[in-house]
Amino acid sequence: MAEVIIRKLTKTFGDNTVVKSVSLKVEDGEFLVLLGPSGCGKSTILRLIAGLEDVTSGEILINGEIVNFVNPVDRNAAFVFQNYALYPHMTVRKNIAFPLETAKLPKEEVLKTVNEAGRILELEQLMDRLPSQLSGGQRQRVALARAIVRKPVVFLMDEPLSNLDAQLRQQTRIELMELHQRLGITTIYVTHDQIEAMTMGKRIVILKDGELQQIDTPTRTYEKPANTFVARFMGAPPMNLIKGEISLVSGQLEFKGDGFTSSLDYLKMGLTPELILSHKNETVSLGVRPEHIEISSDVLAGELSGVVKFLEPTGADLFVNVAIGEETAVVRCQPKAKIQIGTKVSLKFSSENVQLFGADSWNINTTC
Amino acid sequence: MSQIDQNKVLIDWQELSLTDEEFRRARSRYKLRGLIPVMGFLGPFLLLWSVFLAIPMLWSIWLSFNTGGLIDEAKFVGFDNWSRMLSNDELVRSLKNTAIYVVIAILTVFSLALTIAGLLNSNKRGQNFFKVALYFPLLVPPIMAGMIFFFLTHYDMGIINLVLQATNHEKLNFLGDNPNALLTIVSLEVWRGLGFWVLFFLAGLQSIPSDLIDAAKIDGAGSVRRFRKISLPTLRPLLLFAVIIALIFNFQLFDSVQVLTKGGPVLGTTSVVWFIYKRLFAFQDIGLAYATSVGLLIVVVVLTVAAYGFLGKRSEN
Amino acid sequence: MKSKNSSRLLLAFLGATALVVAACGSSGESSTTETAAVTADTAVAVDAKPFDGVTLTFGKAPHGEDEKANWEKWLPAFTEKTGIKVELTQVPWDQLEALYTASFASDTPYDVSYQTSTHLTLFGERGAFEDMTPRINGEDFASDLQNFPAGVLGASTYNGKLYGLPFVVGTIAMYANLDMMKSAGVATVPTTEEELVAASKAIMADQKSKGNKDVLGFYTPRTVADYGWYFTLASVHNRGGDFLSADGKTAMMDSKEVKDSAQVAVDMICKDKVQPANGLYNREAAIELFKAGKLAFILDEPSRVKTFKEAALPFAWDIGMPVGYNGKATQFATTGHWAVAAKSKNADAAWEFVKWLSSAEFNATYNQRYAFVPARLDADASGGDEMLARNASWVSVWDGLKTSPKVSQLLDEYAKALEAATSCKTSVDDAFASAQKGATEALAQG
Repeated sequence: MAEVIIRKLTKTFGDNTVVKSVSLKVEDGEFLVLLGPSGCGKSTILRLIAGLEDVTSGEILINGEIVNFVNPVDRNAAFVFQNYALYPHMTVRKNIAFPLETAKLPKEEVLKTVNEAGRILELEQLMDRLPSQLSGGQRQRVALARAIVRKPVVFLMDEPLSNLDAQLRQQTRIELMELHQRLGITTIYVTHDQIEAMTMGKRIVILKDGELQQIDTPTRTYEKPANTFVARFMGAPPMNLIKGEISLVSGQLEFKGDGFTSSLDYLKMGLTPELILSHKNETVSLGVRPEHIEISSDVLAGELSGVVKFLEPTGADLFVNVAIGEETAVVRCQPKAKIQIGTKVSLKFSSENVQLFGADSWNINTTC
Repeated sequence: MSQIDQNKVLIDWQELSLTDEEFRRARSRYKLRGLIPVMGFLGPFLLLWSVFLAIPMLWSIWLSFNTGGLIDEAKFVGFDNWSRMLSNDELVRSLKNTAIYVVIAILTVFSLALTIAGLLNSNKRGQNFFKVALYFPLLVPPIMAGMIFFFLTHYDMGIINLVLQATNHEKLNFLGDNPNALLTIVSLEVWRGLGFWVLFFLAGLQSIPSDLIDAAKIDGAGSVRRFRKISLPTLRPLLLFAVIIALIFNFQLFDSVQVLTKGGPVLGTTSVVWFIYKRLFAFQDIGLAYATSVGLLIVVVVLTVAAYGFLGKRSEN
Repeated sequence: MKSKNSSRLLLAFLGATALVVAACGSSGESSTTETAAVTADTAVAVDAKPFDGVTLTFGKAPHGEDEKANWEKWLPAFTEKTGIKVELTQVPWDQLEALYTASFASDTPYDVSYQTSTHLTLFGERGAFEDMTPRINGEDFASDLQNFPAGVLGASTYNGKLYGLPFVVGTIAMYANLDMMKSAGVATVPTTEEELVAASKAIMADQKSKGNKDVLGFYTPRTVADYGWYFTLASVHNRGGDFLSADGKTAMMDSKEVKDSAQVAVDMICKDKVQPANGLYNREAAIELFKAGKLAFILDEPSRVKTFKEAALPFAWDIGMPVGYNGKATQFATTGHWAVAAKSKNADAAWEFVKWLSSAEFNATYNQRYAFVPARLDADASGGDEMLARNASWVSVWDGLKTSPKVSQLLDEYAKALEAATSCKTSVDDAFASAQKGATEALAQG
């Protein structure tokens, strides 16, 4: 069991800085997800923790000890690779036993540990097969078995589900969660799939271009994104962003967009008059999730309105694309809602569901 | 239209319009059309293959049962050449030399090349310099290679003997003594071949997924164990190919023998191909030369099959 | 799949020898020969030039790097005189046998080629060359024939057949460093084996006393690679022996004369240590030693006279006959011949060319450059050089290699035995018993 701390971690390859001064703390036994689009540096952070890459600057601590200059094997971290990295010429048994044999453990102990891991991951029937004779899910389990036999204090998983098909991925996700609950090992899990992140992470770390965007619970990152990047990255379809200016008018927050004005209750949004005034005279973005917008065909002058461009029925929902001037907003409706393309509609939302992002793209509400 | 009629219409539409015979013919025409470009490319190769390989090969086998046959007419002598071949002392010596040469050369060049390739693979810095430096001997024109060799091995002025002399050791008689001469040839051939094999194995090592090596690092394997337990077994199919190629190449040992020793001293470096060359051209003993050629072919085929059996089995899976 | 591919590769390598032959045989000659033949027929009317327009192919291994350039100077005279064009192909010595085999196995061999004693009957007895006996006995050659010593013609004749006209005979000279001799009190160039050993010892001791520890007394090649037989067989002949019986049917490798002469060579290396061990210096390296003043005596071909003079060696030197035995000193070497291909389509034109090549005039021209001894007595190739004139006079004691079809193989047996014995690790008896066995087997074979 261990706590992992990263302090101002930076990694450069040549002129290319892929991790920029990232700091974070992973609690003992936590399941932390590193999320971001490809190239955001999330895998590199994982490899830095594992010791597969050399840290350019910053510190990595496992259990309070700086491990920058400790060999990978002595960091006691297990790594699960995206393509499993099973040794192709070794049987399942040999693969699982490899770290133990490398550590020169006595034969009986190796045998016992390997069998135990095989039992936990239900590999008993497959022990004498070669990796090439296994399915994707089975290989995944072998990789996990090989990872747990050394009794690591940290699990590092690099997109372990991305090579599986959709159905198997969901099933394995559950298995992984169960394994985590059972073993309680601190786990850092890298993915680019926000569904995986939302369902698995106790907390999610969102990265972009090597920089930290937000560390929070899945719900908070969805409801109160720290900036427009997170707002657009989390959720499908993403949060709608509408440009405009804000001012305080008779105790209400007034959002003035292209051809419309909305009055909002800033208290319900967790804002203060000072915060609002400090963003006067700049173009801010109003963010609201598709499910928090109501549309109606009764359109009043000065209201936020637009023209229905097209419809995306997904079975459970109907996503309505509405053109508002140059911009487009997506609204989630009941699948049976009677909406026709080309009609003019008004869009309504309540203050507690609205986020405001400053011109610098960060959420005006600094408590986010 | 009733429901039944509608069904009938449907059935008519489902009826096959080609007869079995027509379908079969159209299908084979279609397949043949696909074969034409293939044959267009393979045809010239097959022609060249038979003109330059198959026919000379069969001709060689035929000549091994004859005397003469190049300048004069061939005269059938049955197994005469073969029995002379089996009782020829110089050939026995040549085969022994060649076998010793092959074993030492392959073991040396492979262990050196694998080690160097392993080191280069784990150290990216300066890799290109070493690649070029190691490949250099293959690019050097023979005449320059000869000069380099001369400066290394000359009895009085060669660098090696100068060093030996300076360190109070006896000077080496590189080509005039046994087994020095054969070992000198081995060194020369290793020097010439090393670059090729380093590049060969380096390419192999670089094709190993880096995740495998990373996984082994995480699993605690040091560089030697990683190399032995992960890289080498992964390279096994490549290694098999390399061994077979090297066997075939090295059994052809001839150039260095012809240039440096002419088989001497005291038959210390006669190789099978040198033996064949002398019989074929200098002595015009065509029958013995071809019998030995075919014999060598058989030996190498047997060794190739053995190598395949030995190294290939495990990678079959 | 892999094993199939590799065995196919293997076939490629083994077929390669055959391939060389096939490929070379089909290339080289163009259709010019055919058209030339037609032109020749129509040209018969012109009396002076009956072969006008004929093109001959000519194969020759070079005696010097400038030889090709020289032929380009020499050949136009022949073309002008006869109207015959000559296409020269230089055949490198190290591929000579392979390329000649390819040529004579084809339908378009070199019309005229240069052949040494070791190859003349090797290829001739297999039908590569026409027998020249009728031609040299023809009227047109009568005045030339009398200039060829009978001994030279005899050595080149096998079973009554002469497959090529002798052009040059080789000789061997002993080069001596006169300064070293003088310093050690050796008055004259040694003429016997005992004198040579004694002089070498005296010189080495003298030089050692002057601080030149690495001076050597004597060198001549004794290895297969450097043609040891070429430099050693004179000493067998001096004893009245040979490695082959006069009728060419019995090997005499274990004869007393062969073994005694080999023992002398062995003793110089292994017992008296006046010659360095085999392999320390090859022939060229030893020449460098002589030029550097680190070697008193060396046997080599007379062509070095010219190069030594050009190099202006920093000491006095001279040449002498290789040492004799019991008052008898002979010259041993091989003969170079002009041969006409049996399959030549222009044999008569080729004979014209051979006559021109072996004329006293051309012989002198050629050998003033390459310093061989002309095979005919009326050609003076010394060019006024006293040393070369002395060298030419040695033709009177010439007792060179008698050609025979198996002579290459027999010489190989002899050379291997000589190399083994002079390695100091095998006794002369054992080495030459083995040579006798190999030679007997070779002679018995078809």
